[in-house]
Amino acid sequence: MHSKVFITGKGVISSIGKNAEENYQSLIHKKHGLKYTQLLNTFHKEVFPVCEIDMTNEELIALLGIENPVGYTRTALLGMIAVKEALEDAGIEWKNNTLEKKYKTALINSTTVGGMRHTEEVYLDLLKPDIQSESESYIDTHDLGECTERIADYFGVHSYVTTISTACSSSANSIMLGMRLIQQGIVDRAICGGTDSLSKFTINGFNTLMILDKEHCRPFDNTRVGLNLGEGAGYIILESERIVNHEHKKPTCYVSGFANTNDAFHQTASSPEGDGAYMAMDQALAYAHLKPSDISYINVHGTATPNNDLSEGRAIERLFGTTETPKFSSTKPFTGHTLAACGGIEAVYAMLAIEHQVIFPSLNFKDKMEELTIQPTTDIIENYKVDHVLSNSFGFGGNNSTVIISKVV
Amino acid sequence: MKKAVYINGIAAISPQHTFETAEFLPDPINYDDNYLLVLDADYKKYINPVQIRRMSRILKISYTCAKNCMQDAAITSLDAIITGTGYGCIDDTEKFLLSMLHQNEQMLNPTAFMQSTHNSVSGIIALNMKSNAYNYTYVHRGLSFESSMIDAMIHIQEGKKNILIGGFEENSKNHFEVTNKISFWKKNHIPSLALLEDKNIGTIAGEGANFFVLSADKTPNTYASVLDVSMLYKPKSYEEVAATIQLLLDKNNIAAADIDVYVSGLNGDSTMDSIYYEVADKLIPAASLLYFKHLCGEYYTAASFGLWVASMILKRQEIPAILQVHKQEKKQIKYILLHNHYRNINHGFYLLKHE
Repeated sequence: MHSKVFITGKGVISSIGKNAEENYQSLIHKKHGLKYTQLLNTFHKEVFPVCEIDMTNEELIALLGIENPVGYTRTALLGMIAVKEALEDAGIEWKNNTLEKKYKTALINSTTVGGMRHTEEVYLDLLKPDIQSESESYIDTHDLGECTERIADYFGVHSYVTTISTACSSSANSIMLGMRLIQQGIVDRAICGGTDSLSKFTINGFNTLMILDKEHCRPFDNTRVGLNLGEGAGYIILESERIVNHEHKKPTCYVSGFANTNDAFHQTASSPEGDGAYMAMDQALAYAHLKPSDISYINVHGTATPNNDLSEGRAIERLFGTTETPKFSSTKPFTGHTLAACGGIEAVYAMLAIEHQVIFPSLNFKDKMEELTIQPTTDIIENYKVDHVLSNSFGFGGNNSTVIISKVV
Repeated sequence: MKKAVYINGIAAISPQHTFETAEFLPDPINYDDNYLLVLDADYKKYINPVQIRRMSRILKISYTCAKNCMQDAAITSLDAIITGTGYGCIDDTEKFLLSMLHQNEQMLNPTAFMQSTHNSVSGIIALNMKSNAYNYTYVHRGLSFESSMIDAMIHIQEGKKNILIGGFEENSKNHFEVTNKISFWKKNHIPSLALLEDKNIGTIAGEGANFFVLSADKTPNTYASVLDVSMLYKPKSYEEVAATIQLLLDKNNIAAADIDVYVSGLNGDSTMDSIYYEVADKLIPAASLLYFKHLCGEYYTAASFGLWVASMILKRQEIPAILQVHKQEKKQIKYILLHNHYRNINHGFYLLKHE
């Protein structure tokens, strides 16, 4: 058996709320965050709706009380807000460099956009030979690790600071690494999750792949045509059993299983039978010593692209059968696809489902897919026994990740 | 780490003759424009003709290097594929970005976007090798490769057998010009092989792909064992760096005097190099001081080239003159400390042993 690692805190910001409670209220009241962008100056702003957080960077900076705001990217700011909530929720002091006073801590961040949101605004200026001082402060913020270091510096993490980018499975993978680092005794606790802001780069990228929906996305619906992009950040705090006992913490959830596999089928598409997805879910269950029937709820990746939902749906049918399949839903119609952040945000939602004993609905579903027997839950189900939530995150490069979050009993 | 970790296969595609050669750094090449590119390999020996036309330069370089590395280790199946890169596929990122900006977000081609993803390299290795194994990409600046190493070493502790890991980076003219504005590179053109003679700020830009097979079991091809790897973020002083190295040595029951060779990341930037000289003078004065960035240039994952150099030294028990800052005569080269830092923000330390 592996040593137990608990989740002692959670934090989230998305288009449906700037903390876990606001997100929860939106989820149970079926309030989605989809609209046309107010903040991003893109050619497609009245074509593709997005799930945007309705706060400017200046407002985010004010919320964090940052005195010298030069060079903070939107990706970093969103990450900082969610990490702050997660640390406070876990009762971890961080002011005046106290975060690592007692326990070695890792910050395992993930992102796909990083500083691109700013790079795309200043890039043509930067290519001109004469120096533009305003733009220059965003030269060294482009890469994906920069936002992680901003977060690490703000909260005073220094023992283990790293960044993962495996496309849309990134933050699920950061949770897995946190588990393994704690189990090996390399750190005592880990801040795991991801952050991504909307950018023209990703909107245009997904548009060239023709997988953006101009309407509200419809996961697992027969008429689905694509995804809606979103922005946000989600983090959980993982702590060893030793800390939990020593500090008399009363966590509600722990990570019971996880797996990462590769579909090895195509650079950006999933295999039609969902082989990688099947293996990830199967291996995560085996790790957790759980049977498929033990799973109460699957928070599917469910992007609403024709390819993802078919592949994921077939993998679920193969592993869980078509008659006793656990309740499942995609929360992407609420938040949009937040890319590297979705695994972190959905880990927080898995905890909310366990803490409130509730299943969140899949919005916009009408017609069952003709290739599948199963269909998602469309209404809120309250007073439901939620013990184990399986959360899927799949990404480009054939990357498939499953994390299982379980109730502490 | 409890279980031993062996380096059983290596491969480097670099600005020097490092690929498909039996010699150790023969005929070092000098570059005069502060901008080093790799010597192209014969990619079509490793990649089929249909696929090769669609692949970007960095995908070809990295995939070819990975495949050659597996051949060197004589293995065909992997338990994990892990890559580290700071900027990822920067050329395709710039290509997509520029067409988006110039064409006002219209009529764009998806290929550059698809290949711009940071995990394109680890993805294409899995795809071509039909590997369903664990597949990760670390993108943390000067700790991208170190993060990959530590992950791979944990896999060995967890019972896995063979892990492929690689560090890669590509140079691009636009990126070079942009980062030149914040003094990353030397303002005057210097001969790369005389890197340490220039006493100004900045260094020279490089690129490369360096892959390794880390294994749980020793083989006749084993280059070295990796005793430990550690990372340090934003040290405030030399003392903090020295303490981290001392802790690494203590954890592995090795005295500072046991270190035979110190492979350093010296890059000729007068504001960055003093820390290496201090370590060499104060902490391990009995070790030979070596450097490698005059050969590969500076990049986020240049430490992976340093690991290639260190692996070759331990296996062959020889130190080419081109690597030496100063050499101490030793009967045997048993322990190497590899230390690299990126702008004194990200430090990586590797403790390696002759097998």
